[in-house]
Amino acid sequence: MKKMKIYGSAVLFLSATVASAVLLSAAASAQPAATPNPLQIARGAKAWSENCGRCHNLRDPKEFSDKNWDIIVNHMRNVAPLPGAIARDIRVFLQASN
Amino acid sequence: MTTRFRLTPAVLIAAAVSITMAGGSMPANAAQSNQALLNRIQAMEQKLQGMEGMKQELQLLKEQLAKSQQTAKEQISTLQKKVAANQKTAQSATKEAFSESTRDIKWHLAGSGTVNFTSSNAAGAHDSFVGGTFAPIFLATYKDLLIFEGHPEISSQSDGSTKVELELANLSLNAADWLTLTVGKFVSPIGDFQQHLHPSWINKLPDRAAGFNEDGGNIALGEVGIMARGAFPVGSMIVDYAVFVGNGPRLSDEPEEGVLLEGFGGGDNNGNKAVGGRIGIRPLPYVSIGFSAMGSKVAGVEGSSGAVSTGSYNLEDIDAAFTKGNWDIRGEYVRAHVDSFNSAFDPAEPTVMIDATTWHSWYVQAAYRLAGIANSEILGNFEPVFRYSTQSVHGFAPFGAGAEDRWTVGLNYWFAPSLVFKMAYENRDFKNEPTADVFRAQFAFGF
Repeated sequence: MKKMKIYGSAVLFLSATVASAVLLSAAASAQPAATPNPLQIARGAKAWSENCGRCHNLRDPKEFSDKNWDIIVNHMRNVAPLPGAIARDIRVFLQASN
Repeated sequence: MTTRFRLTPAVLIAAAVSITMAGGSMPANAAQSNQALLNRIQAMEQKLQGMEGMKQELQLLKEQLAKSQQTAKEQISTLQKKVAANQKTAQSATKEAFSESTRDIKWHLAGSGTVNFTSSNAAGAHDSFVGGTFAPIFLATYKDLLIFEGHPEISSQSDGSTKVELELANLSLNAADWLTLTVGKFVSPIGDFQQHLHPSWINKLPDRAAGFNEDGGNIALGEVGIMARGAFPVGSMIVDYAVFVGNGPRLSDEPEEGVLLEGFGGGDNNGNKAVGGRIGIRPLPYVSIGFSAMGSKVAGVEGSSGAVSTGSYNLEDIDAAFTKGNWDIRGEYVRAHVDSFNSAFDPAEPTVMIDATTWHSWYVQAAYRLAGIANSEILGNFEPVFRYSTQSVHGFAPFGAGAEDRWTVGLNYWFAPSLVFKMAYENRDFKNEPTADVFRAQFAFGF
């Protein structure tokens, strides 16, 4: 019975690894375009004001560098949580306003 | 000795006088010719004088030109140096910008720092500057796909020692716009306060709500396991969800702490995993409602004698928030229940029967930033806060040691969006201890 449990765990983790690889590959191919457009910046401004103030004060875009906003928004996408597209809009707005 | 004949003006004049004198006998056309010659000589002399002036003028111009050329050379040299310096700066800035924003792996150190002061009339309490807390959050990303979060918390203790705890350490994979997979030790997605509001620069008051404390009871703080989480739009709404499987809660070795839900990474102490999740709805940008639940089992601890058993543990939570303009109004209710089971608190002592116990905790809180009514920038940075919170415990008596009703009024001053000074007065009506009044002050900085 214990052996079956161990085999079951191994199969489960192997499946999870394969699934992660497939998901990672799919997500990598769906990376956003590098050049933002004004519409995306406007969407980001709206999403920033509607979502970020739900828990804390709105942070000034100038508080962090573009690189830091990359990381912070990626983190907040998971913490809030936020849909990926909305998180990208917010990041573009923050970096454009920086 | 030879004498050279020199044609000097004196000779010329003498010749001219001779010619003139001789001219008395000369014909009239010869006199005219001499006069013409004299005229030409005078004209030539005038020309010579003019040329002399022009020569001086040319010399002057030549000197001026030389000076201008020298000045121009110096200016060009200065400009060349400036251009070279600017090119170097531009290259350096471009290299910096390129390297920072386009690297696949990036990292950032976030977190918060807090210092506190507390004054209480409770028996045995002293006015105290309560040691600072440093809570760094290390974040590292791989493209937009992976993010690692490591969060130790370092705080000084009343005995002079320093306490270091690993609050979080997890890896998240952004698998799709609506799905993130997280493994490791993560913040429990149960409820809203612990998940989003407990950092000192976000929490509107210097302390946590009653029952929403870190030392056990019924609040899920962290979990070690795997979590699927995400959010997606539904029409104009946003819906978020989280589902997790983890090691689950444990019984504390301090009876008054009850059951701990902190996320135990050193391995599970029973074979039953905790399963739980949360679903949140944001029907309007400024309204959010969340429902959470978790099911698990708590294992009894072996004692010197007596039976040991396991008790089922269930938790339900509902939270709501209204955050429009300068208003921040929110509340949360959490109920936890553990079935009866046998356990020891100290392995050297016999096990005891732990009665089935239910915890109820809830709070309501309202804060208003005066910027909504004050024209003054200074007045606008003030924020009065009110909170009522309560915890009641029914069942195993030692678990209810911390049960209380608490009123808190506070006043915050925001120096910056993440830099705040808070003052608060609390009235704590304990169920099993005398009532206490407490004043708290706190400086909190999030970065």
